[in-house]
Amino acid sequence: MFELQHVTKLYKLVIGINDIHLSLPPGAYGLIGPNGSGKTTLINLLTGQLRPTLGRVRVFGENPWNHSGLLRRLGYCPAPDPAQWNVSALEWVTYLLQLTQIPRTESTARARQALERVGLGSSMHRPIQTYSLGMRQRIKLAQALAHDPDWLILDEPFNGLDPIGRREMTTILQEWVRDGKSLLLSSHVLHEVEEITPSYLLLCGGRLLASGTAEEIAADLGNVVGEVTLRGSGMAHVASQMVGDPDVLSLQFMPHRSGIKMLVRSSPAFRTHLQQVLAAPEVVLEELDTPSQSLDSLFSTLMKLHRGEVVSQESWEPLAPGEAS
Amino acid sequence: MALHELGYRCWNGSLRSGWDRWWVIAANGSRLAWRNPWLRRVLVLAWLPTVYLGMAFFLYEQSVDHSILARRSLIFAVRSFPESAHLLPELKEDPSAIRHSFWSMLLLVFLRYLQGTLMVIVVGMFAPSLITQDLRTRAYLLYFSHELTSWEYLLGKAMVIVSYLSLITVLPATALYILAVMLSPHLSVLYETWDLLFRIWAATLVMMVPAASIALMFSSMTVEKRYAGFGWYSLWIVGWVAHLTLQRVGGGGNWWWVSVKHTIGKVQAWIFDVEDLSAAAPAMILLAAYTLFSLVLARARILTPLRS
Amino acid sequence: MNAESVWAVFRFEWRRSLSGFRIVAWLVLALFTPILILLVQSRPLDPVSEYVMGSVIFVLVVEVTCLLGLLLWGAPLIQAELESNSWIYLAVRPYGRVHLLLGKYANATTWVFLAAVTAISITSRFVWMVETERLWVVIVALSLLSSLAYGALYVLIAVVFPKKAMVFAVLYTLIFEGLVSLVPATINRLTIQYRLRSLLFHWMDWYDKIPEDARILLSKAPPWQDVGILLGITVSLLAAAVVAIQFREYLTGGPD
Repeated sequence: MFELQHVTKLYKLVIGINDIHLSLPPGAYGLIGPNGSGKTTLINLLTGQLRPTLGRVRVFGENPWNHSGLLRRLGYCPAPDPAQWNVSALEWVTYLLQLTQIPRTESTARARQALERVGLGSSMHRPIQTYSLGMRQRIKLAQALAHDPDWLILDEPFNGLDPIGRREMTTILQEWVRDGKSLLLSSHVLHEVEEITPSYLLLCGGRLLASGTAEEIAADLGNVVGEVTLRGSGMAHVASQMVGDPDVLSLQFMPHRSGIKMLVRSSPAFRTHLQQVLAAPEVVLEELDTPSQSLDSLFSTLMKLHRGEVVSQESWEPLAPGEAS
Repeated sequence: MALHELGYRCWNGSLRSGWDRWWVIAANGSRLAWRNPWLRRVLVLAWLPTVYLGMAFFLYEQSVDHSILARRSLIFAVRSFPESAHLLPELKEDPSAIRHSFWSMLLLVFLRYLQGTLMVIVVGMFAPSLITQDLRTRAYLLYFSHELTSWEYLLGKAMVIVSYLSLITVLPATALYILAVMLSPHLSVLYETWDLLFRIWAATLVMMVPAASIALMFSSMTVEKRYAGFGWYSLWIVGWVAHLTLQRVGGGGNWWWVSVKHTIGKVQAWIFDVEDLSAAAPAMILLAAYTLFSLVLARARILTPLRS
Repeated sequence: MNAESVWAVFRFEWRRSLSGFRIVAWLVLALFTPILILLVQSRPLDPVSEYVMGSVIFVLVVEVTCLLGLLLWGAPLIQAELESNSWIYLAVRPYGRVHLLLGKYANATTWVFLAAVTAISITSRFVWMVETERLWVVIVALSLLSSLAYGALYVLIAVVFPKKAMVFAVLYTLIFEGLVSLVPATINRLTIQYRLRSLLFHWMDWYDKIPEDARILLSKAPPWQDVGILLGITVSLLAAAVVAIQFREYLTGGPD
């Protein structure tokens, strides 16, 4: 398992990751965050390539820095492509397996097996420099899983893959997870991560914004204020009904009363109340925009929260009836 | 809600004329190279010879005023310079009679041996990546998708090298000349030595133009900057060793052509009146050929991926 | 650590070294000395003593060929991996960094040593000297020692200054192995050149033939001592490089 205790990594004056504290038992996790959020730094700390400036990192209970024994149990697929090589995929994966201290004949057999598994069985003898971007991604995956590690760590494995390639990569990773192996998957492609694992680590600006399943994060976001937008006729009636709801924190009419915007705490009670109000005959709804429960939406809300664009419940008091502006 | 047009929008402002497009590449390249802290440190260190030569100018002007101690110190300081041999007797007798020759000799030694060697180190620190990086990252596709010719591109890249070389050649040499004038007894020495300023500029140009062209050629030959760096250093080291060997055990003779450094030195010696034009003319032709060949090859290398 | 993994790196690097540019570079290194000596001998010569010619061959093969070769194969050891994005793939293998360093060191010294052997083998076919066989043996031995010692030095420079290794290797060679090794003082004994030069003059029995004031540039110690010091330098530098590569962080991309 992986454990980070208040870990901070500084690159001179640049913060890579900032005070991350988390514990990951064996399982599958999606590591999600925008560019520069600290995903690769976190992975480099876990694989022992970087030393934390502050805090403590533990992998399988041991410090990964300079701990070669741990590396046999990790399979790492980095983001950058190994370019300009005049060697074949089979030679390269065999070579990396030999460096994992697997005997040569066994290395060749395992490399062959791994390349076939990622769909490169027919082209494994071609030089890597003749490969397409998608094929290179597959070789990278093959070298990571060829030595049968306990944990697979993948950094942006979907980059450069066409839709079919993405589908195949997703299937391979789903099988990996189904076999009971652990996975840490860093990606920008949120819906593909959703297909592989329900557990996420959301990083932004070097900080861990949230961790857990989408449901857990959504439940935690119950304390966070979201915006609901309604357009149509009969909006005055909706406003008069909703203004007294304890989960409605503010309410604002759009020009010409064509719609309303409400800052709300999205509780089940609020949703039931809103459904009842909208069912009234004088209300004709043309547009309804609510915060959804998708990972994309959760991430967007968390980012807004991080940037201070929305605020948590503690800063707000519910409106008294008749206070709508 | 306002919809913002985020697609392509034509530039409505006035466009600059195209003649200075190379300047953008030169300015950007210089800025990128300047980020290298080691380059900045070496540039500072490259001014150390200026201090030594400045001392020599000081001692010379002091010895003109009949200071025996200064004269002895000066002879000690310059006797190891190859071009000083024929000046030493007069330096002992009447230094004021050989001001022009002596200043020329000092400036030639400064540019030919000291800064000439430092030039190899400094250029090797940043020039190998100038074109290599563009080829590697395919940035040249971006460059040439704009209104930019390959010659403008090459000129911009060459100017990056020229700008840094100026900092260690033309600038300190000009500073040395100004210092020498300031240290002399009266300003009339300007009348006697004004031409040296132009000779300095000509001698530095003779260094910078072939060096920049050759560096760009190596940089364009490969996508890996270590190969370009290796090519650059090998050219100078192999040439220098070959010249030394042939000179020592090859029975003397004119072996300057085996070394680019010595070829440049030959032309510089003519600029400072140490060699005749007839002796330096072949070296000038060879340098022109190096420059032309390097630039044509570099251009062909840049254009090859565009054609394919 | 595992010898089989070092051997795997060596084999892999050997295979990768068979590229057009590197083979051309190797040929230039191997043929540089014979061509130069041929040029020298094609001219009417003043009488040149045997030890002067031998010293020239020593400088060309043991110094220039070996140093330039190591500049190409040894100095960019880390830079090459960082540039081609392959560093991280190797570094996450058990003792991957150390295996990489030792395997690439072995590959670099082998290529360079072979270039030096080729150079002296061709040169000794036509050079006018009384003891060409002896010179061949001595130069081959010195090339081996030179490749090992300078290889270890350049590898250490590569580990400490990964992105500017070539520049620092050139600077170090010019300043220390070029200038300082010729300073008639204790400091020149710290250079590799001093030991190699001393071995040449002792093994070729030229020590007594050179002018007395030039002997200060040579070691008076018996040859086995110089060989021991050179091997000691090699092992120490390699050990330092192994320690440094294990404890250094190499950034492979931006701080994402």
